[in-house]
Amino acid sequence: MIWGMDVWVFTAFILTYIAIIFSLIYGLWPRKEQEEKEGLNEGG
Amino acid sequence: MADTVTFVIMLVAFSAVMIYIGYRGYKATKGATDWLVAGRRVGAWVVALSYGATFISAVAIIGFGGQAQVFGLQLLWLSTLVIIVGVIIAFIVFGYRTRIMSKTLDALTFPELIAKRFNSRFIQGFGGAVIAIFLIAYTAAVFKATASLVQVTFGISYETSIIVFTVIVAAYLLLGGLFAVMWTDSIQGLIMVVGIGLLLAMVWASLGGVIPANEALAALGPAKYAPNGLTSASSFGSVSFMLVTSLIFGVGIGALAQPQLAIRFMTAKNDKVLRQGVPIGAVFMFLTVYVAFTVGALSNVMFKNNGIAIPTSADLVIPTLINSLFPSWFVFLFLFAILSASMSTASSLFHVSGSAVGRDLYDKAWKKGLAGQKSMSVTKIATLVVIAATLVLSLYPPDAVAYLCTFAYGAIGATFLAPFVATLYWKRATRLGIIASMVGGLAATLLWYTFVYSKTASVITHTNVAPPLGLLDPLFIGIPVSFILVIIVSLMTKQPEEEHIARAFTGIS
Repeated sequence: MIWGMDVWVFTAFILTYIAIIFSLIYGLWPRKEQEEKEGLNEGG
Repeated sequence: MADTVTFVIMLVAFSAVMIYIGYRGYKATKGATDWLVAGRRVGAWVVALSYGATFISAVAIIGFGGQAQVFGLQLLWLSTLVIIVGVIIAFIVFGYRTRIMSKTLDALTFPELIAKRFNSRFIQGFGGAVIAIFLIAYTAAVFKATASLVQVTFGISYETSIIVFTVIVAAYLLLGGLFAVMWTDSIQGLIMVVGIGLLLAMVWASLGGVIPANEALAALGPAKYAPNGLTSASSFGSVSFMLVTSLIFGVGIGALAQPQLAIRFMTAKNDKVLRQGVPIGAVFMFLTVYVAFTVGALSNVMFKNNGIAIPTSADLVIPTLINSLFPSWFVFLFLFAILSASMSTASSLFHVSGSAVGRDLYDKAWKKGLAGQKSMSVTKIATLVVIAATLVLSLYPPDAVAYLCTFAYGAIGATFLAPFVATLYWKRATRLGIIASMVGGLAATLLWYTFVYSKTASVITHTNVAPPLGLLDPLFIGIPVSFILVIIVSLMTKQPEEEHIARAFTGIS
């Protein structure tokens, strides 16, 4: 048992937090190339 | 029973805000592009909150929260999958391409995107028909769940609740189209986050924190559908394992091709909006579904500690918990969170079903394309018809509605997922391959529901297929069949024109 959960349930628990952290980094990390690509798409 | 007068006053204020947003949407709506895809100029917060609020209905919170009481914390795999597949993969793998391709091809509905990519009126008509049939039934179920909750909490009759909610949603939707839907979704999404998010904080606080709460839950020992305990996964191959994995993967994977969600990608102003929408959507799911499932499981401890009998129906677990153990101010807040969850999902379903009937079926597939303003009027009238039909089905539900609703998620997932992937990623896919995939995926799913899936087959055809096969979600059959058909039939038929492919993939690297 880890934090009162078996290993499979704990994996889901911890994966949720990893997914949240990944999404924050992915979405909020400044990206210059993204802005440039977007500019090209604007006219499409 | 909470104070009905206070509830009615709050509901009037809530409705006034929603209808004002509808009016603002009306002022912003000039043509079909505005009505159907919100002018393709929506920002990150509204796209992501609207996506989340549409995805998560009262059924997800009340129904699945209740299931978590039965299955325990192993249901957390569903919230994990909703975040990873339903948001992160959906936005990154499908979002960008859907936005760009729909703009290039000037597609204004989800079936229209696939239809224009493959130059086929049949695809648009068939897709529209599937959406109309299954989503109208699903909307009726969403309303039914909310009205039942209001009836239990405030004693307001089921019929009155259904009529009032339908009128409110219809008012803002018919005024402002998708602008109104997405902005009201966002406000409703914020109410959901506060109301539902607070619930977990209060439950954890009353149980002494995360770890003591889990330990108290584990100490309750095995349960019928959690044979290894309420904080442990079921053993591989057991009945409870099959039930849980079917539920988790059925919902998680089926979410990828739901038209009411995919249309949100078409509304994004640019790629940055979708990128920034990923964390907003993921955190939203965390604060709603993860919370509901954790609270649902921990309700076992709350009921035991307070000497309250566990409700006989899973649907009554969350309402009973809230009504018995929380202060009245929170009962109101939570109820508005649930109302918001229902309205945001229902308005989006009305919108997508209305456009399926008006634009996909009547305008494009049958009339071969009406001109500008006439096309928009047809879609608005169709939306009104869809709303009226849903109201009648909610008030007087025939047995078939219950089945259609059960089939809805699987049927739509199996009809659209493989064609959606092929549309965005496989240049060799052909029109006939897509048609075979849509028809075959849907047929396989419906046949599995009718003859094999024990929950439905035992009632419809009185066939009883033994587990594990009888417990296998139809999506596990429908989706592979659909993928196999699109590959085989496409490879057997003539390669699509290069010029059209090049145009469809413009701006996609």
